[in-house]
Amino acid sequence: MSPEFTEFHVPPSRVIEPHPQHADGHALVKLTIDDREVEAVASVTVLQAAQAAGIEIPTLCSDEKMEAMGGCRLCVVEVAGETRPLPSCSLVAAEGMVVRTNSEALRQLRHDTLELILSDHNAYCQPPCQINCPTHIDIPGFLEQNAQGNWREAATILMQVLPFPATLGLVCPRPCEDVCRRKLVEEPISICQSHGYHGEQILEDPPLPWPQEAPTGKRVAVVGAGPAGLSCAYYLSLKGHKVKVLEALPKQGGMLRYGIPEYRLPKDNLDLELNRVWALGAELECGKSLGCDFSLDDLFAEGCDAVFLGIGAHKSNKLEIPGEELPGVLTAVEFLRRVGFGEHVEVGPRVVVIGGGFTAFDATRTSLRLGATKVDTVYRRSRKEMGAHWTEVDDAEHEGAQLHILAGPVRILEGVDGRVAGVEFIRMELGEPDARGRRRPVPVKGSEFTIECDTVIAAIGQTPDLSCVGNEKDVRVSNRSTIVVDPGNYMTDRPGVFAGGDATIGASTVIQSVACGKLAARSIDAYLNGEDMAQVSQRILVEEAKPDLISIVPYKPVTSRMPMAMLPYEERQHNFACIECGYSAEQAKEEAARCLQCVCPDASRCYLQKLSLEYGVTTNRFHDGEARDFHDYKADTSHSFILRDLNKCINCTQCVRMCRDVIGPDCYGLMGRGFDTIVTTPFHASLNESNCVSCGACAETCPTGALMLRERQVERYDLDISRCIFCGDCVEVCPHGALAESPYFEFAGYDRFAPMQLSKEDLARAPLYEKPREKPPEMRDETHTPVMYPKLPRGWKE
Amino acid sequence: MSEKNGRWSLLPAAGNVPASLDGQWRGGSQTDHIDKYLARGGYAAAKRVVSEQSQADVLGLLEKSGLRGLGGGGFPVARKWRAALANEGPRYLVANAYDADPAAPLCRALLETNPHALLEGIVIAAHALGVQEAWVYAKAENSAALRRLRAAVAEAEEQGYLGLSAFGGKLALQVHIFASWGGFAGGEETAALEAIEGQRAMPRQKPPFPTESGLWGRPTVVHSAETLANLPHLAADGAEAFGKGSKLLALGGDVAKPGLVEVPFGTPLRQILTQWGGGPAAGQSPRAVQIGGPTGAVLPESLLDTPLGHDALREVGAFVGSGSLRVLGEKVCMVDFARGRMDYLAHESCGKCVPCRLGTNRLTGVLETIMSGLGRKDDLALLDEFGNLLSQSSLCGFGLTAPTVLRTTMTHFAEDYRVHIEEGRCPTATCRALRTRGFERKAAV
Repeated sequence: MSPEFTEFHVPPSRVIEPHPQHADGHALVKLTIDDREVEAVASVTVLQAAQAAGIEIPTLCSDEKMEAMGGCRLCVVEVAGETRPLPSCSLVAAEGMVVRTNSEALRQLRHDTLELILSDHNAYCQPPCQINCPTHIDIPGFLEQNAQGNWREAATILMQVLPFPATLGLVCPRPCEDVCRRKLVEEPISICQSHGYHGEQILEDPPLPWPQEAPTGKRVAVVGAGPAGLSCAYYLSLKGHKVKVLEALPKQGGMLRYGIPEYRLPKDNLDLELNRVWALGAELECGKSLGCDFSLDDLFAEGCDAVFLGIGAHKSNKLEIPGEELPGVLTAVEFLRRVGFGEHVEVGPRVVVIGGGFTAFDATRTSLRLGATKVDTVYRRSRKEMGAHWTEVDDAEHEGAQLHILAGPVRILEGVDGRVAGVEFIRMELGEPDARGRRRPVPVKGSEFTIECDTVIAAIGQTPDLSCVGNEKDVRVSNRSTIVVDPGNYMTDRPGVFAGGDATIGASTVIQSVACGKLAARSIDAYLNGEDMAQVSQRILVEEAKPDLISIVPYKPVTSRMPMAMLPYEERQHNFACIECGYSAEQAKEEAARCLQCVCPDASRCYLQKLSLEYGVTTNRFHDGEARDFHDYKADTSHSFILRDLNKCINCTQCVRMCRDVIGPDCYGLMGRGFDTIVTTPFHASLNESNCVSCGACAETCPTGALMLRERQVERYDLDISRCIFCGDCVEVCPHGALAESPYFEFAGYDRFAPMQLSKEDLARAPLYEKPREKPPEMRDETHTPVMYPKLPRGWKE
Repeated sequence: MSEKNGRWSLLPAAGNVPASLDGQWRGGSQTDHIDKYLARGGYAAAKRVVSEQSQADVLGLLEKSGLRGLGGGGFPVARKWRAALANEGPRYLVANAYDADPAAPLCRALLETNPHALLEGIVIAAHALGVQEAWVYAKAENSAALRRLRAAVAEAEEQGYLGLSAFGGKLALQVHIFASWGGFAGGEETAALEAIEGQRAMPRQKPPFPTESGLWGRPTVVHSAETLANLPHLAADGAEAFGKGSKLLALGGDVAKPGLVEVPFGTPLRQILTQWGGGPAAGQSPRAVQIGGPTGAVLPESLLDTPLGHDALREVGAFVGSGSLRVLGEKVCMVDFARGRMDYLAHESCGKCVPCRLGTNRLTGVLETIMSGLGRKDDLALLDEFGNLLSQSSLCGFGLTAPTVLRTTMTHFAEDYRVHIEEGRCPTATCRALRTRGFERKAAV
């Protein structure tokens, strides 16, 4: 037996053809990609040929520097004559090849592949609060600043998307808190009141979210000084456009001023906040109403380049029952507006409010403050279906209102004096859910009952009053009595006329209106820059799409929510003092520190996120299974510079190939088999135990947030000049080019933060490096790795 | 259709060879040492080919016989060789004796009992392909087979049939043995190449095919060891005598006489089960058979008259695959069976491509849900959709064929799925609950 024949073999080196950098001297092939004739160098792949021709093919695992791997299956393309799609990253372009990169079938395959990847992507992406907030405030970001007491920094983060934090802190219905992941531990963070707090801190001297741009010379008219219109005006002014706001009512604020009572939102503070818009150079003209004082054509004739309609929803819905015209029957909008004007509205001792939304409870609690002794609030569905936040309902009951649920009005009774004497109601039970999922109330026969009263306030919803745009051509009105706009770019059928807020979506929340105003401002800015509005619409829709998230929360000690000090119920009677007393600075910090920071620092840079949004993977069909259906790895933060979170790893092996083929140390490889396959270090140990040279190339190439760089805080490296032999090895191996070689052997960036140029002569003259005599005790131990304290990025935990 | 005569049968005993590890032939008296092989006329064909025939002669013979690969895919051997010959050398040859499917240890039996048939086949192929280095790729756990193979290579070198000056200096051929651990996925031909190169045994994307860029980027011909072991017979007796050839099969499941058998191509499956398998196991009537290993198709009783052959099986959605032929008795619930196969695949996937790594697991989960009585009607559409993803978009044959069990059971035994989902019970009353909750479709948190 001759073992050298059978057992040992010296492998030849692998043949890898380098890809040519340019076409000179290479044979060319012609192929057809998406019906386009493309010319490519003979040895390149279809992916490279397409990229060179400007055709985008999605991929998560290929990098031109490295050999193709073909694992992510996103770059699959259809090739004529092939039975199934092939990955373009490893398919060599051939003469006459006919390739299709974007058919419906391919889209479906890519969608399903991404869905599979995300089904085991056990990591936070964007925080749910941020996604659920219509304006997408960076909530973990401002809470982190709040926790350190940096109120101005926090406000700056907030004002990038929401110009009025203090106001919203008082009146927002908090869609963010409904989805807060802290709820899976104990209670949600009080996000709303937290931004209310720092909003108050900067009322007098507000920071700008970004520097105001130079004047563009473009003029925009904003109709309506409510939350939508003023948000739009704020962001347009920041972009350098000249904005004029036209308001029909005597003062600014719209529904904020004339719909929300003083005890919830003090109007002095409101004015302080809204005045920010005028500080940026916008102008306000009150008492001018569209349709009466001016028309859209007038605005364009005056030289406006675009118009934003934020006219709100100020028309109360009718009860449509007998007796509605009687004296003493009011609509909630009319009632609250009169109170807002400062008028003393006589409601009598007994009031009936009909409805279950915010407006209904505003009317209820305002009636109590105006001196009513008995207020009955009647709603036809159950508590669960109420539009108002549960805290409002609770408060109203504690303040003395009587709540009746599952009862609908039948008719309004007339008294002997011709005024309202009472309302007849009928009991309801809940039937089948309607299109919005709310269960429909069904009357119970023979269950009529009467509540006696002096005033009836109907609060069953508002619709926009569109009589003002009735004569405007090309501003279409829907059958729901709202202005029809493009859902992405907020433009009406008439170019240059945009609309947003309650006028387009029907009576909604303040935060919705602010979001509409902000997006409309973005769209108007694009319009004024002459962009293609169809593309703008597409872009905004993609940005606004909700990605899917897996909600698994790591263990956190239970810390209950910081309660907001409220005005005692007995002190609320007959006055309009603000009922929220506000946090102290300590309380605000403490509450903000509860945030789990459930956010991936790579969000918005992550290719997986980008492609998932592009392919509409907004739901996932493999969630909520057993614990064994998902992996839960522990993050490796032991390395000083490179952080690893395998939960975010998608096994693209870019780091494996980068480390092995480009850098050399070969720190990573695939471990495990089947579903449990994962890219990790040898023996799944800390990266410190591998051959890592801390170059960070793996983190740079990682398409997700699985590998990230930790901020370096080393400020100075010491050089022992007495031992340096100018071999240049350090220059050769430095992957970041921090050390550079020249004829004089320069050290560029010898000191990281004050780059120093040292010539050979300088080095020769440099003082001898002396080891410090006093070393900190932990450094004396030779086996001890130096301890560094760099900061972890957001969302990482030691 | 005639059975192979004793001289050329690949397995020693007439009739079934027990497939279990403690088989009677393991390293025992049945083992074929080179003197026995020579006594049967071994290496005569190789000698004639090496000394008298040209490349074109061998290729002509292959084309005339129409020999196709016996590793499962059934690719024409002559076409593969021509593709390799079109590329500039050096060329390599790999004999895949890995037996990915543990239920069908065909190559292990071949190596343990008849290794010289394989070595002679390698000599013939090496001569025709101009190959000077060949590898036998085998599973490391088959230690007896590896021992026997090493001994056989040493014997052949000693006698001048292998080595740098074999056949009196007419042929230079080194045969290396590579023992690998790679699970089920390690048997894929390009995974074998990766393993031999020293990498993790994971398949490569095809194209490029190994005949174009194989070991170390050079043209490489990868054949099943069984294919190569058939070459001496073909070279010695010619295409006519060789006929359609035969195939090693592993009979298993609810069959009276399980074991390894050698069956001529063209035999109907039903005849294989009665003639070689002795009919169904006592008290069982077959509901279906699965042919081709864990990823193979499940064929109902009504399709048992399908003859054994690459094209005939393809027509009914099946393939020869690993050569395992498993009888499923009446107590087998097809949902459970599909779940079990899929679960195995979910553990055995190499993990390289997304559809296979995650898709097999998710399909297992959905099947578990159905088994546990938590199934919903839209689960079937989900199985279809992701089964399609696997068979369209996976990297290698493993993932591409992984949904076959699922698809064939859903086609031929739709009733089993319906009863589970609509009536909430198992038709054979054998399924147990494996999950307490199924997957949910979920939008943002």
